[in-house]
Parts: sequence; C-alpha cells; structure tokens
Amino acid sequence: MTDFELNINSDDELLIAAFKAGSQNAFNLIVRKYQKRIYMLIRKMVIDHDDADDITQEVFIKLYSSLNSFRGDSKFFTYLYKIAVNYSINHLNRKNKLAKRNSEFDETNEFHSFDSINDFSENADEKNRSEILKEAIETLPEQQRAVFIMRYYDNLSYEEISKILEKSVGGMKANYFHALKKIGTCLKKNKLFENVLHKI
Amino acid sequence: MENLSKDYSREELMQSIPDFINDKISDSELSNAVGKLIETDSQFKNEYEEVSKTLSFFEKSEFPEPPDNYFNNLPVRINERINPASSVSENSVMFQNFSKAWKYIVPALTVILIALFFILRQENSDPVLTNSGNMQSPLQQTGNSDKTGGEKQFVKKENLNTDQDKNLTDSEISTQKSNVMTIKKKTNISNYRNNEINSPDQIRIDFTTEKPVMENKKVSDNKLTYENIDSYKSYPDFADIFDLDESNEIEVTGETGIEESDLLNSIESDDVNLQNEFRDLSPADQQEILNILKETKI
Repeated sequence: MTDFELNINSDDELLIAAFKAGSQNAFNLIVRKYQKRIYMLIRKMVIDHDDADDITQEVFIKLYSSLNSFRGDSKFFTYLYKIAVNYSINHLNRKNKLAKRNSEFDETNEFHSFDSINDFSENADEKNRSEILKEAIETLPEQQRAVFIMRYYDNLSYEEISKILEKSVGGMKANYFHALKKIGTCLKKNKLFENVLHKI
Repeated sequence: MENLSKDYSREELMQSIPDFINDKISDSELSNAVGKLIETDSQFKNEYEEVSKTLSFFEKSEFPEPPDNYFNNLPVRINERINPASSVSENSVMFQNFSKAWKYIVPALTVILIALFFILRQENSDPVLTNSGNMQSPLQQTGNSDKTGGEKQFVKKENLNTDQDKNLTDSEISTQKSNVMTIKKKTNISNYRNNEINSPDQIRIDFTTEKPVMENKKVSDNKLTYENIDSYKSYPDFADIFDLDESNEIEVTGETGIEESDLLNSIESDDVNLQNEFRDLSPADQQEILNILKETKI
C-alpha cells in the first residue's frame, strides 16, 4: 500500500507495516489517530495540561523509537496504552516524592480547596463538579487511578487492563471497586458534593 | 438461588457492583447473583447505593478539554522533536552543518597558524655573519653558495686543527663553510686573535699574526698573490682596501687561482693594526705598495 492510500482510518497493521518500510507519513497518521485518546488518558492521570502535553509527546517519541521492534503479539492500542500509562505512573511517582519532600501529607486536608467554592449557580455547578472531579481522582494511588480511568472513561475490559498493567484480572476488578469506594468516601466529606449530587 | 450465589464469594460479588450498575457483566449468572444479594442483604445494598452515587457524579461531570488547535499542532511538535533537521529550511540545514564543521575548523586553523608563526619566527631570528662580512638572515644563506666557492681558496689547509680537516678537498671545505649558520663577528675576531678554531665545521680564516715581511722585504715587482697577501695586510691603507663588502672584490691570483678576497674583510680589528703598521713604513715604501695595488686593479 502506497503512502497516498493510507489514511487515519487505515488498520493499525497497515500503518505499522508502512512505518517499518520507511514511511514517515504512516507514523504521522498513527499520531493523528490516537493522539486525542492518549492525551485524555494522560490528562486524567496527571490532571495538569502542561504535564499531560509533555508526557504525550514523550509517549509518541518513545513509540517512534520502539515501533520497529513491535512484533504484534498484542493489540497495537494495548501496546501504546501501556507506554502512556507507564509514563504517567512514573510522572506521578516523581511528583509524589517531590511533594513529600516539600511538605507533609495530611489526609484531612485533601479537600481544603472545596471550602473556597461558594458559587452555586448552574455554571458554577459545572465548574465545581470539574474541580471536585480532579480532586477526587488525585486522591487515588497511581495504579487505582489508572485502572479507574481505563475502565470508566475508556471502557477497557479487565483483561485488557491486566495486560497493560501486567496484573491479574481479579486484581484489576478489585482496584476498580476500591477506587470508586475511595472517591465516594472523599466526596461525602464535603457537603457541596451532596448539593451537586441532588441537582444532578 | 442461594446455591448459585455460593459459586461466587461475597467479595467477588461486591466487586461486581460497579459493572452491575453499568450493565457490563457478561456473565448472566453473576449478574443475577449480584441482583439477588442487593435485594436480600442490607449491607450489600448500602454498598450498591454508594457506588451508584459516585458513578452518577462522574456521569454528569466532564473532564476539561485541551486548548483549541492543540491536536492540530501536536503532531508537528512531535515531529520537530523526533527529526529536528527535517523541520528547518535547506539553508538553515546547510548553516547548521557548516556551524558544526566550524567547531573543528577553527581550532585546527588556530593550531596551524600558531605553528607557522613559530616556524617563521625561528627562521627569521639571529642574522648570520657571512664570510664576506655581510649580515644575512639564515634564509639568505642558501643563495650564497657561489660566493663560498671562491672563499674556499683562501683557506690554508695547514691551519686546520685536525688531521681529518687537513685531508679535506677544496670542495669539502666549501661545503663545510656553507654550514656555518651563526658565526658572529666578534667571535670570529676573537678566534682569530686566539688563533683557534671552534669546531671542524667552522672554518676559520687564519691570518698570520706575524709581523709583516715588508719590514725586511720590498714589495716591488711582486704582484699581490695568495702567498704574499698577508704581508700587505699590515699596511694601513690596506685596511680600507681589505675592508670591502661584497660589491668590491679583491682579485688575487696565485697557485690556487684566487679571484676573491672577501674573507679578508671580516675582521675589523686587523684594520687598525694594518693601518698602524703601514704608517710605520717609509713614504717610499708606502707609495710603492699603493702603486702595486693600483696596478692590480683593486
């Protein structure tokens, strides 16, 4: 298949074969095909846009250097997801270590930011929900966060998640449940959550 | 029903609640077991309600989107990081290549220039006193080989120190003389006075220090030859004659066919002695010597 016959909807195998044959355009098509999903996954993991931007670029640069050695044992998307999740988890670990060095971690102070939210208008509800959402996800440990995002937002099966994280299926299921439990526990501590929930 | 629920542990059933809420349980038996437990177990039911609330909150909440055009620029920025050279124009690529090469060219040129500077400086240092009495740079020495050919005939072999030197031919003497690079005037003069030779390479023009024979002899019909030239050097007037530069050559004939006497001019102190001795002669003798010199076209 020549370059001009490839497009963003081409099969992953074709794009990879073209890339291995030397087609730079094939790699560009791979980037355009998966950039949004990878970015959103990473964004939900690390929350901050600038961090997500850096990690997204690094993921595709890593893909560029390693794609020639991809043998096709797993799905390409699983392979790409794995790179993205690992890079995100590594980033979070570095960030947590830095945060622990700079200040003491106190669980009771996790939702201090909610006290500052006083606007209860409809627009404020969306803004509040967004802020609460970010804060809630940030309370999760790295692995639980990854499982929750892949399961809830990307709708991946436990089998796929287990391949990506190289863990057991049962462990992934447990991770997902406990992630939801923890988020719910944290949300209940704030009355605003109750107000927002009622308006839903 | 209770038997069915025994196939699954309570923990496994509880962990299936989120999938049950979203209707994602593919196993129908598992789904039924969860439904049953929700209806019969109050604690299980509370867990079910809590998870429902949490999932409801997330359903209505959207994660913030990136800035506009972010995904249009992302592939370009990724390509720039992967292939920085391909993202610039040809001119800048050439400039980059040139600037990379410049890192090596500049130091190499610097080293070469410094080396040339030191080489040229050494070659242009300390001028050399030639046997014709002129100060020349070492670089000019190579051009004087013709003149040394005539000078060789003034060298008396019996004045050489070593036996080896005595057996030298005229051509060998000429060659050795041309090897003298840094003979200084004063050194040469002092060597003459001390009647010594510094090295075999350094052929010293050995003028006799004996009193001129003119005191006892008349220099009448004798032409100025190689044998009697020493006797004329004591005359003061000869000092001016002997003190010649390259442009004024003394043509002397003799057994060896001498045509030049540049060597006689290299010693300034002898001029004074010659002048003094010439003055000691009688006027008649002085005049005779001058006439002879004129006849020989000095």
